[in-house]
Amino acid sequence: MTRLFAVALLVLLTACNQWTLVNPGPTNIRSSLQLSPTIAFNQRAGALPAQPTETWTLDGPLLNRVWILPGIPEGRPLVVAPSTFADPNARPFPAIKPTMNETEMMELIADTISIDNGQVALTTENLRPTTFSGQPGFRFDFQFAGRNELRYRGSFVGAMIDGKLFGVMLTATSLHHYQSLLPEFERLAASARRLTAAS
Amino acid sequence: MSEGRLFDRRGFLGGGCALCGLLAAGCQTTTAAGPARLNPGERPAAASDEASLWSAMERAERDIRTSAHIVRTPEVMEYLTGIMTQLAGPFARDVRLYVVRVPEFNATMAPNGMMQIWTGLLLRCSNEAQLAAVIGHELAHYTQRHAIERLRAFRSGTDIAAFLGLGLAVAVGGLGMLATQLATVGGLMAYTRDQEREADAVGIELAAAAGYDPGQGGALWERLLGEVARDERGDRGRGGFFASHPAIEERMEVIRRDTAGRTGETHAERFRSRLGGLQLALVEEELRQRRYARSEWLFDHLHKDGANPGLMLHALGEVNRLRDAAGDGERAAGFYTAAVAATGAPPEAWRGLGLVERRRGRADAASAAFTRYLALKPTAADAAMIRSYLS
Repeated sequence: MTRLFAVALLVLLTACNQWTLVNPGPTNIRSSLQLSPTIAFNQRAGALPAQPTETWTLDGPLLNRVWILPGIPEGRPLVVAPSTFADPNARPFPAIKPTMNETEMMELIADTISIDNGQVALTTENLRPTTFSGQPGFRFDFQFAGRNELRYRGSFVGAMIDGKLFGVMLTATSLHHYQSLLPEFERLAASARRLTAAS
Repeated sequence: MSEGRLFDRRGFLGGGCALCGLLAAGCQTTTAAGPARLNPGERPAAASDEASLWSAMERAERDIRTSAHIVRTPEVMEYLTGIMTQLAGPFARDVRLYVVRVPEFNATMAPNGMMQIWTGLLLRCSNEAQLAAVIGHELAHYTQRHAIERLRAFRSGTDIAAFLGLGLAVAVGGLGMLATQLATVGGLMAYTRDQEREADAVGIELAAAAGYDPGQGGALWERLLGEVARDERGDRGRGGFFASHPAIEERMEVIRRDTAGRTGETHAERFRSRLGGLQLALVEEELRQRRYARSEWLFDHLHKDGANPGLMLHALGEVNRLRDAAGDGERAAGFYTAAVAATGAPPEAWRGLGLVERRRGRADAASAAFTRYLALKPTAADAAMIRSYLS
């Protein structure tokens, strides 16, 4: 029994670190959001079912990653399983509330990033209105230094639609990766389409 | 979202310390329990175990010196280094101070004279005397050579260089851990209760000798205990040190007893004015942790201590706005209103007031607050969004 449990645990851990290919073209995220990348990405596979987000990367998540929020409902945090950078005592992460305005959604996202990266000092910039999936939304940029001493830049584009937070976020090293991936990120954000039962 | 591993919280909380007083005099004493204390300017003998320890710490310090997590504001560092220099006396040229951006209460001293103060500790100090008590405590770790004393006790056959080498490899290379974690041997082992008591005693004497109110160290402990008792996460909020070292309460009582009736300066106003703009960053770091009850208790007590009333009232408004439980909106509006009427409120207090008034459906009040915010900070990070609210 113990051996069986150990094998099951090994399979689970292995699955957590697997990546699958996302080909260019329309891709459905959890049946609620469609994105259309123009280049191939790696998608983290085997994520915990409770984790409400998806992660794509080109060169590995420490260098660049696109974080996808496919409609996170009220009362749920953006992160369920903290990264290994995070203080294990830091949970629970802040959760979405229906009364939040754009400034407070930015604060929620920024604070989540900060806590999950080990209480890093994070600077937000240029919060402004935009559209996401044809709905009024918001966008902001941010910067922080990771506890691994790499400096990161990032951008978030999203919207609260019918009480759920949708969005895409690019986080990449300031040196090279952010600028390199930004055009594709802009295309991804522009391609976002919320999926409903009728669509 | 990320990979790696972060902090083990010890240092001032769990860091070592030793013999009493006379630090400023720089005289050398030998104890039955440990090595002779350092003389000013002294370095360990070449090829000794202590030299290996210093060498490892010097490598870690090179990383820290270039870390992105160090506060570099020249006027702040000049001020804080000045406090340390005054307390260290003849050892002033042997120690170096780094302020590390971690929003928790801690300070550490490495055996080679590298002292670290975390920004969370700066936030929690109401005055210079409280900070001086901490710095005095940490200086004692250095002069009394507690690190090597503990390491030799811990060693029992383990090769010290291999031990430290493994620590460095794991911390800096293997797991990508911030080098500051290793920067003190306190990160690898805890000090004894007796050493802690002695360190407290040294801190008290150093602070008193420099003219500070020596009882302020006890006041700092008291507030920390009150704060963590309000943590929503229960015992987990006390952190690893508190969970395993219930002697904190006992140490606080001893400090109270030993400083009863003694007086001195607190230099509260100088502390506030010299930290300047860093104070808003310290508040924002704390707010990011979303530990509402704990932060609210802390800000309330800092406010009652007279620490920068406008900023602390703003912080209380922020806690209530972010928590947004029943009645919090009204309370937040009250705190913001009081903040902007007090001295030291940041422009963000007007933004907070606008956001809660908007949420409460008070459009005119929200517009007035937003307008004031944009007038005070036209290049704010969220200016474009706030302007969209006005239009």
